[in-house]
Amino acid sequence: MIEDGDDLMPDELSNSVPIDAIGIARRVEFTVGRLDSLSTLPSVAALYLPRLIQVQLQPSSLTDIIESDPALTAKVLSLIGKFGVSFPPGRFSLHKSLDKLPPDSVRDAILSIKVSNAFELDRAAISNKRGLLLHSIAVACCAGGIAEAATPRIDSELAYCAGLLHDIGKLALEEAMPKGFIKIVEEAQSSKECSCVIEQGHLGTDHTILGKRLAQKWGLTNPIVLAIWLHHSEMPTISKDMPETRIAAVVQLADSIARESGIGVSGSFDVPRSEQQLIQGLAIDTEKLQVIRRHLPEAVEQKIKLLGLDMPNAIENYCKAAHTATARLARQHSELSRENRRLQSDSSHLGFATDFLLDISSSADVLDIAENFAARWQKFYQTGMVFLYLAPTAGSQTLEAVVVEKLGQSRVVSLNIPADTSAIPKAIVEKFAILNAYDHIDWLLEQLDVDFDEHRTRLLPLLSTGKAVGAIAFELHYPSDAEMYAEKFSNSGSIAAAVLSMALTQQKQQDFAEHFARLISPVVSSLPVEPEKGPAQNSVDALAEMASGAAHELNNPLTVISGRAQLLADAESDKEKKEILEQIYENSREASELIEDLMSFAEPRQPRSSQTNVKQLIDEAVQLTVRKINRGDFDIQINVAEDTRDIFVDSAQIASAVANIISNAVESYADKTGPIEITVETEQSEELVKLIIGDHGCGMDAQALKKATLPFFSAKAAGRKRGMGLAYAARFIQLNKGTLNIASEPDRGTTVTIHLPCR
Amino acid sequence: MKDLFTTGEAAEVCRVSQQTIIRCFDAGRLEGFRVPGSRFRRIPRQSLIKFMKENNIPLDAIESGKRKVLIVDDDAEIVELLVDVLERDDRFETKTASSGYEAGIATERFRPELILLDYMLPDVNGNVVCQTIRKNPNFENIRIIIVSGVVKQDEISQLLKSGADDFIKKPFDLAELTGKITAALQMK
Repeated sequence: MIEDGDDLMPDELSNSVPIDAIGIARRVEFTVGRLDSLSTLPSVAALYLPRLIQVQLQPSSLTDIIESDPALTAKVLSLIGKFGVSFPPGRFSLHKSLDKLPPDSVRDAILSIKVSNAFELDRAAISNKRGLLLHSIAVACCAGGIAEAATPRIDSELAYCAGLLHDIGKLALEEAMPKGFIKIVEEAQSSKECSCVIEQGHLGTDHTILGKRLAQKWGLTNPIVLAIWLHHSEMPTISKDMPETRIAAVVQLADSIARESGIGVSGSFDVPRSEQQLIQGLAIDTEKLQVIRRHLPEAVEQKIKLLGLDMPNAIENYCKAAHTATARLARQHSELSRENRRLQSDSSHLGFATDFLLDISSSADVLDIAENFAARWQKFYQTGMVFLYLAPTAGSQTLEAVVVEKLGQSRVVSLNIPADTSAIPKAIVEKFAILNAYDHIDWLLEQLDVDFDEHRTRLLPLLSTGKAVGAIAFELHYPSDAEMYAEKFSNSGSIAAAVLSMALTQQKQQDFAEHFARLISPVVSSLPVEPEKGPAQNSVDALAEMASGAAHELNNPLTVISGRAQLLADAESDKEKKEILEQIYENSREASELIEDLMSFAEPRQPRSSQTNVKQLIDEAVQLTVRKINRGDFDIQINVAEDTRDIFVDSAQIASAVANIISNAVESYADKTGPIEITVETEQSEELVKLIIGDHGCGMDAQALKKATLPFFSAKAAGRKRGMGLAYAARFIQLNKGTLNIASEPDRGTTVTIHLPCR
Repeated sequence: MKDLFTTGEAAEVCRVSQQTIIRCFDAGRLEGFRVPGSRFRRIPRQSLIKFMKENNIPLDAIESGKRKVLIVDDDAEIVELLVDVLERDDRFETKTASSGYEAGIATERFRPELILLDYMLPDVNGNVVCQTIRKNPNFENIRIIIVSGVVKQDEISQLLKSGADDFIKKPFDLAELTGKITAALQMK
């Protein structure tokens, strides 16, 4: 910006010919504009470094250093703007604002400020730098005092800061192009000009514009931006119309006073004008102004001491301080990293537990839970195969377990526990320990058809309230890691144990409830009076059980005999041998049919009872008899009482039973064909129907009578007819809740009395 | 020789999921036709072979033409008998298992088309094995014939309900057994 009345810079005074003024201006603005901060001096850095690396940093403890160095102040003000720290209007306080900032951000910001390589600059540059700094400090102190003294009072700290930062454009230029800047200052000095003019001539821009741009870029507050921009402008005029530029006016006055006092190097050598107008405009008491003038050198001197600007060995101190700070920060970083890793590990464990727990439904089966957990264990801990087994119920010789092979393929197995072995090794039944699996449960792992690696498989318990609910064995890729993870394993295991324990309890309760229900249901339902079983019947039941058991055992060998005989027969060409083999086959079939008879005798199918007409039943029975003995010529007399009630029985079974009895009766007549008398009447009680089948055949003696209803018993002298008839009859009748009685006398005949229920 | 395959059967032969077969079918990569009047897909033997060759699927499952039968019984002599009966008949290829547990593993590995399953196994009952196999959608096409000497009539209907396709009593007539197997596998 060109001052009023000034001519444009004559070309011959400039060293470089500005061919493209705008281009150069742009370039300069670009270079300067890229600065993130000004740089500070080593001595200042040496001062603030030790304080910054305190563990509990109180930012405001650095106020004194910060407010003495433009680079630091600019940085902090930028932070204040960024964090939106507010302050009561008119009463800005750097100290208070610092405390409102997060200490870490303050530290990071200050550490990011460059420390200028003072040892590389030449004398001229160093003195320029120092000069500029002193000038800025002087303007700052002055501005603060003036603001205080002005009427109405202006925010003095803000004015101070504005003063400190008013020449940041110049400082930036000095940093960006130190040699060029020296030239500009020399020229300004020789032509007694404000440096702005020289700058404009060479660069097409000046330090006020550059400063304004930087201030805006760094987010400094508006009054400061204006002060930086306008401190070489017609402030009296401007500030009359625009009150927000009053601080700019203060700064202009302060700049003027500072230059007069000769402190520092301002880089401008024109005569400061407009002082009176400014003083009037700000309505300052002249006395007060004098005081300020007088005290200025002292104030600046104080700051110089504070910053240690004249300290020897500044660079050495700085290097030492930097080294210490780095070491300390590196250590803190390592600690934090460690802590972070630990927390991450804990957090992922939490994730593991949470996922597991959320995945379980409230009605989940114990083994489903075990499978779920084992698969998760494999995935989370990146193990090889996993084997999880549950503690067996007391006295049981088997236990249930889950095997997870590669890639989460799991299945449930049931394994045997040899006698005198405890499924869960004593060492871990009540406390947590990591054991080598093969030392303790090799007998269990052998029963699986997958091979766990002997050396890498570890075993640990799943403990719930101090007792092992089960145990888990798994292959570790790095077995030595096991101890490191001990606590994590223990925690995860306990969670699983707690859940399994609850599921087991639930299962036990269900089993108990079902068992209990089964026990009480026969008692509750009303049953018809069961006829008491005679001793013969009891032995029939015993026989039934034995028959059932024998059948299975017999059928298997018979299968082999029958099958092999068939195969040999098919392959045999010799006619005789073939016949023999077929005989073997036939006989094994017969044996099998015998067993079938025994089986159906032992456990005949449950009666499907319905209301049955007795007369019809007897007719059916007679027809069955005819088919069975292949004779129809017997003489049979049926006498059914008129009022005979229907019976509630399985008609097929009873008909079959009666048929058997009738056929026995027929056979008791050696030469004759009858008679066989059947009588039916209802008992007085109306609950039962009586059915009597009588003959006058050969009868049975006492011995025979006793064994009459036993299977395979036949009183017949010879012949292989199977004596199952009466046995079947008795069985069926018993099943249908009826009774059977036999009375007989040798050579006189036999009478069979059957009672059958009506309901 | 099986001339026509359902998608499930094709899936087993190729050892892929049924969904994959359906997708290939719908995309035209596997030729076949739909049963007229229904939405069922059928794949002729030749197109299945062509598909398998194109996709480098080993042809042993289909070329041999032998039907795979898994024999499950804890009595070793019966197992041997059955193996002899079936292998004499060139149409079958057999594997054996002697417990419910082994049956599960063998089904997984051998992927039989039919299982001859003894009802009384040492570790678990045949109907449990049946149900477990049926629960697995991969095995829904496996035929199961329960073989037993010890079953009551009511239990037979239970078995058929829990997934068995047929039942035969011990001791059996060999021709009857073979007949039931071929019927279950829809062989001619």
